[in-house]
Amino acid sequence: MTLTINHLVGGYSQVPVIKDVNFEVADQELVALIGLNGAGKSTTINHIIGLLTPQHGDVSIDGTSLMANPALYKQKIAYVPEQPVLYDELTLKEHLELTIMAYQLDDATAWNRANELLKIFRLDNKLTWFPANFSKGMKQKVMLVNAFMTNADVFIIDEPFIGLDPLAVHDLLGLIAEVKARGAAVLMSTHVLDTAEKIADRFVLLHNGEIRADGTLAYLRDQFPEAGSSLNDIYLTLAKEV
Amino acid sequence: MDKLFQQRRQKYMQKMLRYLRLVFNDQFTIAFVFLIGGLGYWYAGFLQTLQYTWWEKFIAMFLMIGLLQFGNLATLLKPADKVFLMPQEINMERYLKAALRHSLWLSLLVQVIGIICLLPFIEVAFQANLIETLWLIPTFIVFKSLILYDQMQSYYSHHNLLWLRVVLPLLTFALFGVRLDMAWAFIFVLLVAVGRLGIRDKFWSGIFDWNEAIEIENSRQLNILRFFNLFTDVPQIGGQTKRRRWLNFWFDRLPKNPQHVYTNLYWRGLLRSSEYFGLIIRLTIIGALIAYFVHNEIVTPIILVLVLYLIGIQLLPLYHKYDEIVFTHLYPIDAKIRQRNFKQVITKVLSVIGIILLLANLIGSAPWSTFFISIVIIIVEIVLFSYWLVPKRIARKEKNY
Repeated sequence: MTLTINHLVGGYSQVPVIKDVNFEVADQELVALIGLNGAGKSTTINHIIGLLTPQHGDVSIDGTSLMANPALYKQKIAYVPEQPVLYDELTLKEHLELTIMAYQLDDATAWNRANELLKIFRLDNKLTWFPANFSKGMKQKVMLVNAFMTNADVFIIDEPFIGLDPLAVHDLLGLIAEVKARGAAVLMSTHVLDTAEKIADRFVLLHNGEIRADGTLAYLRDQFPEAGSSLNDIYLTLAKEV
Repeated sequence: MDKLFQQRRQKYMQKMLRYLRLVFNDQFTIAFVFLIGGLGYWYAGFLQTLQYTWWEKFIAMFLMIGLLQFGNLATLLKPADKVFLMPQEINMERYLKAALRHSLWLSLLVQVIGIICLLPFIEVAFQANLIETLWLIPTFIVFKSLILYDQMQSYYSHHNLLWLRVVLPLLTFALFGVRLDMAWAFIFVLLVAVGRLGIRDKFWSGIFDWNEAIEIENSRQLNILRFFNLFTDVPQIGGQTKRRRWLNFWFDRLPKNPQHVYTNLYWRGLLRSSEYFGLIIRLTIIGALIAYFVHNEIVTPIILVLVLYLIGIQLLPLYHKYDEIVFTHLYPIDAKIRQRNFKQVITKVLSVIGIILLLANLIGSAPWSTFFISIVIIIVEIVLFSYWLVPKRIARKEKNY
């Protein structure tokens, strides 16, 4: 399953925040979306998940276009927001039930999967809790469980590392590897560059709403030989340059 | 410090006016006029049939003491004050006096209106004549002023407010009840007030209790906002979530399939948030009371329709309550299904309330004609509301996005 972003121009008002962005996330691939605050990462993600309407261009998954067939498109994606958002009136269990209903998952398999995930994130004894009782990290984990229990083809994960405990980060990386192996495409935005450097297959460097570079670490090193060897060095050089 | 209070007062009044404008929108004003009219109609009828019995005295006393509790000292203090105004503590006396003056006029207005409404009942309950009961008006004015003054002083002295708020009124009205002359009640309260002012200096020397004063002011404002929140959206009142386990039987019965995702969400949102649940309960109780007492063939159905309409209108924002949560947009579910789910929820809620109102009407032994007219008109209203007004309102709101 391939996520394709095609000549995307968009933003919150008439003035575009992102200008003609093109990139792809192929199946079995983890792409890291990297950029400073305000570079357009969140805007790009909001376009991909269909919260914003593009001014130009389109987003599609294997030819299913967001604009042409939103319901089918949305069935294929799972999203983990940077700020966890939960329904105040629903318990953890009811959140998962809602996800099962909304994505039309098979009850038994989905619950098997959910129980696995709950155990991994140590939430299995908190099924009757309301969001008000969760810490921020726990809420993030609820979001992760919600996303990873679906059979989505494309995972959009917005800054997953900040706020999670080290064990949870480790488990999350395992989950990402797992869904990749089964053929999903993963797009992740992050500021934690050393982790990204280790796990991502490709990097999309966004600056002022435009793509400055797109490629593997080796490719980036090749392109900017004077910048240094780590992703951190390359990114800092790029960001200062412009 | 006087100026500071004036500034705050201005800001505060603007805020209250804004809320009042929101509360008294067109529909509510109409409903309000009818509610007052209905209540007045019932009260007038009630007074005519009223006979003297011995226990009415106690109800009258209870009502009078209750009335005295309305209106508090509005200090308009803010949490940051204990840091920023601390060095000005010596001048807090002036600030508080400005606050007292500000609080007095509204409190006294409420007291006077309240006591005038109660007078006809008191006349019967205490077997007094009108001139005698009129003494109650100045009595209440002095009483309320005294209570507010006492409250202001309590921030320094930490004494118990209940003495002046409850014990003294009880004493006064009891004297009143055993048929001392009504004027004596007034003189008695006046003497107490003079005595209270006489010992005030002792209290000013204390330390101003910032924490308590701020906390009391906070809860006072919260109460007012909570009241406004009955009729309009107040951002500060998010409302809490309660599990309400006893409703689980209902949540468990809801169909769990993609066509009913929002049915599940909306029912839980409706019944577990204190905001919507409280609103439904409060307005239903008011409506049921009116249905119980008022039996007129024309007035009763109109009031019931208005109560239902008011509740229904207040429930409409629920449709958009979850718009902020991205998943609402991500679920691969047609917007039409969401609207259909919402309409069903609203229809069921309004039907249950309608049945409660009709039952109250029946238990209050209203004539059959009133009952049947109410049934027909309520059914028509619910159908019109859910299937005509709801889609129209949603469409209008969505156009504005």
